[in-house]
Amino acid sequence: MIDQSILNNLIVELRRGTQILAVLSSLSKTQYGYSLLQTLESKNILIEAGTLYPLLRRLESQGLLTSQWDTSESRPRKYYQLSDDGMELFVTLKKEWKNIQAEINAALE
Amino acid sequence: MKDLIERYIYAVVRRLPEASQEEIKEELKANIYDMLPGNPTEEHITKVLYDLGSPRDLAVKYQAKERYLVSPRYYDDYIHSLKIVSMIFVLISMVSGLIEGILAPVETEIFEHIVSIIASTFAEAFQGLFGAFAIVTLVFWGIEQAQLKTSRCEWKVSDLPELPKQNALKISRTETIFEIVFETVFSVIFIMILSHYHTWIGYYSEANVFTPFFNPDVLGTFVLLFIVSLLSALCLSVLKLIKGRWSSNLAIFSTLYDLFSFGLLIFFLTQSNFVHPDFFQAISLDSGLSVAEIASGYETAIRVIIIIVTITTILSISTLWYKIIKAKHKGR
Repeated sequence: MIDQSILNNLIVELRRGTQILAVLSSLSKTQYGYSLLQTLESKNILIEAGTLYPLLRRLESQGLLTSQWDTSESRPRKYYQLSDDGMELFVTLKKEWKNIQAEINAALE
Repeated sequence: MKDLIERYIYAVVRRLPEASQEEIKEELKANIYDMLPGNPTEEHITKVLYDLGSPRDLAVKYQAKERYLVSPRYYDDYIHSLKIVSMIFVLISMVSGLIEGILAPVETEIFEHIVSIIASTFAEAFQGLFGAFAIVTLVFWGIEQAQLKTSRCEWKVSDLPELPKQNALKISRTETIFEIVFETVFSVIFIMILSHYHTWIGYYSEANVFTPFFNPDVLGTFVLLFIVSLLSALCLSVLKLIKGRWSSNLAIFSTLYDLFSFGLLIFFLTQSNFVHPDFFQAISLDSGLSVAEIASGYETAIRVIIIIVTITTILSISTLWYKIIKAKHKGR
């Protein structure tokens, strides 16, 4: 019998690094927090709202995202999009992900 | 109902730096309303807030940097230092509490006096404990702050600690702590009796005349030297706690202490005026024995005591040195 909590922890750890990749991939066009959450959900990428919103802020402070407030609607919303740096980093990161995939798959054979 | 959302947001942002509070507040509010249907019920709101997680955790996620009073890197060292420093502080404050209590003029019954000494000792110990906690925590907080500014991976191979040499030389912490407690308690009772209540120890003759056993002139010096001996015993015990194993220097200190307390005891026991000059006379009057006979009985008893003390002292010193020399030999 494997310990479910250990298994769950490992799955969470395994997914954590890939979440940022998924977030970056969905931000080539502008999105606000909740729309991004829904986009990811539709792709079966599970990320908690409480994780995503702070993550967006952090990526912005690192210069990977740009943001602007849209006040034209009844409620103001903050829209995020990949910056040029972010786009460059995303392309590199994607290559790295493919490398990792190949390496791990080879190791798991 | 909307009150819940405002309260949730407040609970998050009040934990964040002021500069980012306003922005995160607006963002969080927009996100929460986005997650809610058009006319939300209290259930909807509650569910969304639970989905976001506890305000404390969310605030931590918004703080990019990890912040510690004492970080996991230093935690073990912190606990270790805390143990040693609090032991030393507690000991020092207990001893000072004791000495204060003993030196205070006696105006009450012996029982009350003992209770008040014990109470003041524990109060001092408690204060010492908190003092140690505050100082160690402050020092480690300082180290932590200083470390934030320097690179974390810098270390030199030469910083590595030496391997401990032999397990045979290990000193048990628990044993040492018991040693300290018993030493202190018994010595204090002993010192108190000798300094304050020695006039009660003596012989009541059939004619109800009291003759004290101890010669007060000699006793004062003895008590003083005994306190010195107690203090050095406590120093030795603290050193044993800190070092955790026998070293040559520690063994030399321990031997010197053994010899000192041995010498102290022998010197006073063999002083002809240690006993009150009238004491033998008083017993002689009631018992019919001559003063010379009583004195020779007393001398025999003293001789037996001296022999026992000599043997135990020699045994204790020689077993210690045997252990150390053996371990050093093995180490080569």
